[in-house]
Amino acid sequence: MGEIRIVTDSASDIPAALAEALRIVVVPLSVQFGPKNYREREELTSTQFYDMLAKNPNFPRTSQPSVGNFEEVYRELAGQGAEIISIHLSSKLSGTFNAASLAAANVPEARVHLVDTLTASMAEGVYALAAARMAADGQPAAAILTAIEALRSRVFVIFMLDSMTHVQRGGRIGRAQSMIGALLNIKPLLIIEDGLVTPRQRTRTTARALREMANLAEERAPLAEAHVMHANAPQVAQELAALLQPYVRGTLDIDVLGAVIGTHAGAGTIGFVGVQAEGEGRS
Amino acid sequence: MKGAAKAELGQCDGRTLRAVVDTATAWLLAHAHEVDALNVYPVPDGDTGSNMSETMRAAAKEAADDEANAGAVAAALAHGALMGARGNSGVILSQLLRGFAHAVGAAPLLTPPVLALALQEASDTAYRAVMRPVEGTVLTVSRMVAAEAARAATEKPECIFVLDRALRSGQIALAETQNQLPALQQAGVVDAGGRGYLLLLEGALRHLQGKRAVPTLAAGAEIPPSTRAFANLHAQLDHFEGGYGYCTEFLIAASGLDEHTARAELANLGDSLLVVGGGDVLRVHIHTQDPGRALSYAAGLGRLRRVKVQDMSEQFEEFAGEQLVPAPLAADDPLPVGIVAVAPGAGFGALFESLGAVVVTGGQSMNPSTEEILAAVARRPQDEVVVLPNNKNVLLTAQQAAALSGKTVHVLPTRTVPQGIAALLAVRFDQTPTQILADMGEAARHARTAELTIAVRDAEIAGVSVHTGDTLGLLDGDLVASGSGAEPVLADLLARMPADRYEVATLYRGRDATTAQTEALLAFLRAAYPALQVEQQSGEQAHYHFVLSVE
Repeated sequence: MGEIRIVTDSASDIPAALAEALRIVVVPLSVQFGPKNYREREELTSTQFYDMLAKNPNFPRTSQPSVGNFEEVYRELAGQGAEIISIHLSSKLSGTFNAASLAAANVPEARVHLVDTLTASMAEGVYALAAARMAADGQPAAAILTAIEALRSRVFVIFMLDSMTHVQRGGRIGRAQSMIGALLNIKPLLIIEDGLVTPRQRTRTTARALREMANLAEERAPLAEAHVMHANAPQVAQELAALLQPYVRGTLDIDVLGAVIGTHAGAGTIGFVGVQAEGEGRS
Repeated sequence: MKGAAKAELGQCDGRTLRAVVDTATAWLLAHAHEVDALNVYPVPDGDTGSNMSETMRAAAKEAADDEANAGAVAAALAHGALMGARGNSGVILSQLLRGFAHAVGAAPLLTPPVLALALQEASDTAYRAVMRPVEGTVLTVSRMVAAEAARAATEKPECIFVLDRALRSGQIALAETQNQLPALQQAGVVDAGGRGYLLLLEGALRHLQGKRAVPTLAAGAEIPPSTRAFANLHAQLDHFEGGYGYCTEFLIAASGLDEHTARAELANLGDSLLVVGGGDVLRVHIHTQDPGRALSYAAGLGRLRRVKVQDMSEQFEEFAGEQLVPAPLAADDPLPVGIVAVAPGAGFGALFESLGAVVVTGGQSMNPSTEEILAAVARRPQDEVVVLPNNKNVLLTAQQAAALSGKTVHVLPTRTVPQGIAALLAVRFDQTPTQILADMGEAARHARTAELTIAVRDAEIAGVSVHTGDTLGLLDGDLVASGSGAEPVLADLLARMPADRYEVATLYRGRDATTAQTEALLAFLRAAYPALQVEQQSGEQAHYHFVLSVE
């Protein structure tokens, strides 16, 4: 039996070095500023992106990888004799998972297991990282897929938007967006639930939003790991990490939201992905 | 004419009663301004007169012109008032009419003894509607009116005679209200609700005496804007800071339930008691330290349903009965509870709507009716609805609507609009109704509200000396500061809060505030409290130039 390789998409926001170390293949989504199209990470770093977001008068748009992009990757890995677990952004937020599914059907020689994480950014990344670590340990695909399913009840994400502008323009927010309170300067706290971005609470200040996020961490503590994610807000990210520290047993790191997620969330977004310790998950 | 003749002879049929009510309502309406001006606070927002007039108009609309049976007319009036009641004064008026109708029963003619009895039951019913009755209000006036009517009825069996005597006694009682309530004494006014009630009786008497002409309002004149004369009475009803521990609600189902006995028994157990219904089902709402006693008493009467006990002081906790789980969500509203907010001004209305509430226009200057609140409650898809009255004078109407609604309605007694906004902002979308209600109450309690307005006359209120034209500063609805110019008064209010303990200040600009005034206050706020996040919104409220909240 050949080795198992993990494929994901760039919306998982896995740091490049980590992806490389764990041999994860990251298929890029892309961002367009006006007429110009950039493949996330490959052609546009997060730093460049936030710089352009501030300066470029065009509102960026995002697009999923093409079916062909996935076919290429699957074909190549199948050619190396690998079995593939392809782990993706919520199918309710993007056509990425669908493109991967079509590609898998078009490449019959590849053995592809598809996972719809029903979430995004590092919450999606957490699944890919866990799978890659198990694959490196030589675990079989069935065990990895079972582990991923078991992880679902333990992974959660919460984030604060600095403004509603981007998420509304991007159309990636479902029910209740009309209730957020666009007239007041609300800092909405959102979660991803059942694959959709869902409002959880309305706060008036960043400080309050950070406290509420810490409260959620406390509710779900102990956390095996946590990833603070920010869209060009490194200082606030440090503040949040400090607030979360007491509830995290393992890794607590700070990562930048990539261009695709950043396009929909907007600069100033801050949040975290938590993984509850084993045995603590919600049933 | 025929009816009037009969009335002089001592009785009054349905048609006469109906005509009497029209004249009485017109008489009250013609003097509504005067009643509105009987305001405990020197703030130009009194609305007792207009609220009572509106309530009477709603009552009269319900009664047919050609109904011969006096009892049927009285019952229709009571029903109309119940649904059309505006403001606390309107709610109490609706209770007066309800008692009146109950005593008249099915009697075809209103004879002097029936009239006396009806005035007595009117007063008794109004007293019962208020759990901690305060003397020196319309209650006292109605009681004195009834007592004198009973005496007069035994002396001379003529409605005109009875009414005349009752009215005179009521006027003495009204004059006395100034000595009974310190707030009235300080303001140098008599009780507005009492005055309104007597105007109705006076109008009725004038009709019977053939003095039908009533000074009409100028064409197109609006009913004057509205609210504070009942302030002291309301303070008694305002259980927001009250010491009672558990909000307890349930239905009792059994045949032949006696509403009155149940109310009398339950009244010993707590506060904010509402017992409505009768016959097969009674709906009970009570704030009590010992819900167990209330429940076991009720269980002795019949089968308990929809029991709900919530801890009001700490977290609202589930105590007994139904399991509160989030209900399936309506497509357009992700909350398990619907929210209805009363908002003065288009700006505040738009803010509430943007936060997902259904808005009933009203508040300080025009109290909404029971029916308007009921209609808004019905518009929510949810079976459970929270009503934010956002004004203490809307509280009773909201509670009356809650009691009448077929839905489970919680009235969160918010006294100011910012309290309502704070409550709404505290909603977490993924929580149970119980938790949401607890969070809302908590947030409302913590929000502080400053209001600035201009005095319309000299007065001395709660130790604050006020001159015409002064800026008045209210903190959480109470007058605490006055002076010349908005800045020093606001500075005083902010120091009392104290504002430096909060994170966000929102200045809501009123209809009468200028851009220059607004800019000046914002600049002052930013300079005085650099750590506060200062925001400006358009409240478009009347009377209050500025409303400021801190959270």
